Amino acid sequence: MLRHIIKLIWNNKKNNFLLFVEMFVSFIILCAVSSFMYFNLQKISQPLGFETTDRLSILLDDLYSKDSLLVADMMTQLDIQLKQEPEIEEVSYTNGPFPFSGNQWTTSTENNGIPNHTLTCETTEDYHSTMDISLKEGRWFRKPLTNEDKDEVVVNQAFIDKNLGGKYTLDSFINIGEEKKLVGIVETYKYNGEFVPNDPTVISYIPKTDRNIMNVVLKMKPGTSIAFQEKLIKIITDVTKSTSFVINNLDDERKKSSHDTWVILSVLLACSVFLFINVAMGLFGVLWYNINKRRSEISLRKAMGATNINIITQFLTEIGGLALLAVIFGLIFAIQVPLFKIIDVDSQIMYTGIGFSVIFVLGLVLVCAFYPAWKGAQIHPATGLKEE
Amino acid sequence: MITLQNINKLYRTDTIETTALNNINLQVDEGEFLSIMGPSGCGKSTLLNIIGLLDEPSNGKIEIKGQTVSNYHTKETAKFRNEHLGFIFQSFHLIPELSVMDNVQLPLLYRNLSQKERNQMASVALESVGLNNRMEHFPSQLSGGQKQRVAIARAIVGKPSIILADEPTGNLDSVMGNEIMNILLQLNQENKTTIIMVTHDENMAHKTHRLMRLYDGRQL
Ligand SMILES: Nc1ncnc2c1ncn2[C@@H]1O[C@H](COP(=O)(O)OP(=O)(O)O)[C@@H](O)[C@H]1O
Ligand SMILES: [Mg+2]
Repeated sequence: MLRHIIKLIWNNKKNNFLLFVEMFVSFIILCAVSSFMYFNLQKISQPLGFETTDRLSILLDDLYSKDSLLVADMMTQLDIQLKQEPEIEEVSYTNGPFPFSGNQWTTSTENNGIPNHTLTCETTEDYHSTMDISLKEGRWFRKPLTNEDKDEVVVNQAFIDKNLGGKYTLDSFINIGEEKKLVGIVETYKYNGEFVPNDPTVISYIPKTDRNIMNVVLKMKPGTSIAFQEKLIKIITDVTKSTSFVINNLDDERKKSSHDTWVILSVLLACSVFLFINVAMGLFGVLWYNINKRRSEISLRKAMGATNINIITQFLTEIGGLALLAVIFGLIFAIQVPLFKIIDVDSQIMYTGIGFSVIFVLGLVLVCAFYPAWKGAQIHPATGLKEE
Repeated sequence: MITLQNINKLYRTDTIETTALNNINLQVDEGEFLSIMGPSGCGKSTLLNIIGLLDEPSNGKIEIKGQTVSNYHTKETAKFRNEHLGFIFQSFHLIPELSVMDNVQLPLLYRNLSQKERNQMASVALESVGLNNRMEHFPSQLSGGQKQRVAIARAIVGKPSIILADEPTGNLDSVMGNEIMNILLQLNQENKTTIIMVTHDENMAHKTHRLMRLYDGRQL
């Protein structure tokens, strides 16, 4: 029977070619779209690693141009003033790569000739408590007591996995350009937002009096009104004698940081749903037409002893076989991308996307074919043989 | 072999009701060659379809080979058709995408047979209609007479005991028509196959054992 069906597909290649192309193209598009979606879904499925609710951030972007003694004095003042406010529960400071800044500072080290890229951030010693960062293992770094003290660092799990090959001991020294003492591990710290990949990251200490401080983060009492920001502005203006600072609500920043990706994903999803509804209707229409054109063949087969099940099986095998061929042909192209690392995306993600596409396309084709095939099998043999 | 009792067939549409067959009683013996004649629209094809279990009578009883086939379910009729009945149609009904060989094997696909057995049986059938040199041709490459010979090979490949032929020579010129008629006569004589044939040709009808005339759904 299989040979019989293969002959039918082959000898009808002119009619089947368009269907084949349609299924091939749909498969390729689906591979790309589903891999891209999965890539992004995997990213947002990993938590940010810190809290944004009731957190304010103050951007101070001109400290580095000021005299360092002046800055030290100013920051000490600011810290005292802020901590006096009952609405402010906690205060801490970071350098350039602060939450949702879009900034990325990287260092590269070589490990047996393989470059390791690492994101670096610097924060004060109380940052984890201000931001509710929970540690998987170990503890947050402390303020060094003497100048000779080696800096302590906290790294994320991605750093452990990718840059240390999964091997580590807490309180041992690691080399990231300089020797640092590894004291704690967080699962994720995606400070630039949900859709940013969880790349290897190292967080180390910076004093709050440093000229490289760019950001103040505040943990507010829940329910603090927006009116407090006026007071805040006054405090900062008084202490810094400048108005070049920006206050942001981290919840808003968080939403803003993923907004564009959500738009892209939604548009893409809508387009693919639309595309596949079209493909499904097209397939359904073509199959409906094909099977109707073959009414006399169906009647003939029934006259020769075919049961309804025989007829349905035949049509599903024909169209399923054609779909399988289109998918195999598509796989030859699709598989190259992860196999030869044509795009810099985790190949696991693409294999998952491709696997999903195989199942989806074959499933869609069979679902679309079932009704026409079933309807075709209901054709009364006497009527189908009369037509012509 | 075949017994029809009080067969009626009504076609109902929204507007009209047609009586295609009116109280037909018929007995066909084993090995008999029966021809059916009558003007167009008198119910010949309907009668043949009912005997071939392709259509159900509105009422009446059909017995073939001692079995009351009018009570069969669709699955049983499919099996019965496959094993006991062979069909030949005026317009051949060959599948254009399949070679002569594959067309002839069609009834065998619905039996549990190996490819080898099917090839062998099809070759024998094609040989008996003189077409063993055209096995790999496609229907479009054959003349009308050759197409009908392929259809006969397909009808006999499963060794049915009954062949139902609806105007098998209707689309052929007289030379080709006679060729087909001779094959049918030979089948009937040599294999003792029971044949019921609808025809418009008096000469052909007279070569068969018995002639039944229909007029407006009634036996004359
Ligand atoms: N499916 C059908 N629906 C309605 N009327 C039909 C149908 N098939 C046949 N008829 C009618 O039944 C009568 C007999 O048709 P048929 O058996 O095909 O005649 P013929 O003797 O020419 O083979 C005709 O009047 C025809 O119009
Ligand atoms: Mg007729």
